Amino acid sequence: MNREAHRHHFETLELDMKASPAEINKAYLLLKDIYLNESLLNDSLAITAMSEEISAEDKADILQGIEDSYRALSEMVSEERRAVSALVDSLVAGIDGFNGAALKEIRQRLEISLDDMAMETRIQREHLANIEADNFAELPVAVYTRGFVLNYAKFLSLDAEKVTGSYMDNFRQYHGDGAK
Amino acid sequence: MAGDRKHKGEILAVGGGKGGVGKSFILSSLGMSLARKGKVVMIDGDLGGANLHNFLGVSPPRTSLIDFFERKVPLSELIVDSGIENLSLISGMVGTTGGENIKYVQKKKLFSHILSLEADYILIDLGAGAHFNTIDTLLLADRKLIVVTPEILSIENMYNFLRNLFFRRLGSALGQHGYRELVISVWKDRRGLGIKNFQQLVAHLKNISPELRGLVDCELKGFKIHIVLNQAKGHRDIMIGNSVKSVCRKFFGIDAQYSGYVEYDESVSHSVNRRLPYMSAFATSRCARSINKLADNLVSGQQVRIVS
Ligand SMILES: Nc1ncnc2c1ncn2[C@@H]1O[C@H](COP(=O)(O)OP(=O)(O)O)[C@@H](O)[C@H]1O
Ligand SMILES: [Mg+2]
Repeated sequence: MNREAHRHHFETLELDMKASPAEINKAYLLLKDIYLNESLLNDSLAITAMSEEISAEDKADILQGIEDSYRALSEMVSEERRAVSALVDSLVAGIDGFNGAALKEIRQRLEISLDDMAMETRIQREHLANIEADNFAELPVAVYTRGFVLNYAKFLSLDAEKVTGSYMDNFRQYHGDGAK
Repeated sequence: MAGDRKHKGEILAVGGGKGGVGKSFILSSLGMSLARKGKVVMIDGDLGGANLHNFLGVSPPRTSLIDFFERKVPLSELIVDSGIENLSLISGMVGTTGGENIKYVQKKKLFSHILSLEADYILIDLGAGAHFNTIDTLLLADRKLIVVTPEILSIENMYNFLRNLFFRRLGSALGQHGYRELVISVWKDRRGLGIKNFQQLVAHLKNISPELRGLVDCELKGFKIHIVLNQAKGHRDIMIGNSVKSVCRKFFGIDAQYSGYVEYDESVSHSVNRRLPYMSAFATSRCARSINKLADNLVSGQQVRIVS
């Protein structure tokens, strides 16, 4: 999709270009609701107040535009997802043990910064850095570390169970098998 | 455009077609909220019905804009204390005549004094109606706040106000390119030209020449307003702000933002009656918190999030 079309679709859905897929869905449902609603209820008050200037065709045109832009953006979102999962598959193909270095490599290849990851996963940046450095001594007890690694893996669309299993083997080995 | 000018403080002004929608309450409360972030000067620009001091719980100041207009006192000397830290006020009591017969030069002088006030935030309250002095003052502001309530009359009024606001701005912007008369005549003859709505009017102007098309598009895109929905009594009311914003974007083509809503609270009128500033008397109420959120959004440029 070219940049101009891209911008147009976000504009139609009244979103900024950084909107997440979830925000795209919400905006679509909201706008559809606004321009479909024929009743005199609150939701359509803003339209009713302009009813002399807004014809049924105007509304139909707007709805069509919303529909088209939503389709285009949904298509874009699924394309991105496909591209990411193809990339992830190719990155994971050669790995059998998920240690910190492997995770870091995958994260960097996906062009995700630690800061972004910390913000999105709500895991402290420091913990994320320790995970990637296999810095087991500084990581919290096993249950917490396991949770962090799980979210880390999910965030990168990795097989979360597999990654956690493999990572926690190393963690336990370091702490001695008795560590919980 | 006011935003291009190099002035010290950020100017926020509040307008909107209808009286009683809560412009003065919101502006004074925003002033109190912003005073926690920086130095605030509020100007009561509702010359016919100045009442900002009431919302701050202070008695009518002895000096006011009347001294600026009639005794040529510099604006900065008319600033009075509000009793609240970081917050001061320039009163607007000009008697009964209102601001309608202020002359052009006086207005220009007032604007230049406003632009040179020493403050982080300069907040201007405006009266109801779409008098051109009101509109020009709103156009001076970096952030133009429009207050609506979840009622059809208020929303209709707001659309009307926006039409006036935008055409005044377009007139002066196109005027700089020699099109002033053209805009005025199209606006006046809109019925004869078969122009039924704002969109058709804009389309008519754009079709006159490619240059005009470019200018009009640029003005529309650069015309930003901040919608504030007041007296929200629940989720459905809050959502009205979203639809008003959408209509402004889709039908007027302007950059409308839904910057915040303010909840309805009976205590507002109680505190006004007792001359207590609401934001300190009811600092932790839902309404006060919604105003703080609005202030944050205005500073950061964020909007109300859609919740489903
Ligand atoms: N959020 C609110 N909740 C309850 N009452 C409100 C609210 N906003 C405004 N009011 C009431 O409406 C009255 C008119 O508000 P005001 O700010 O003077 O309107 P305007 O300046 O637009 O004419 C106020 O005196 C106040 O009692
Ligand atoms: Mg008022």
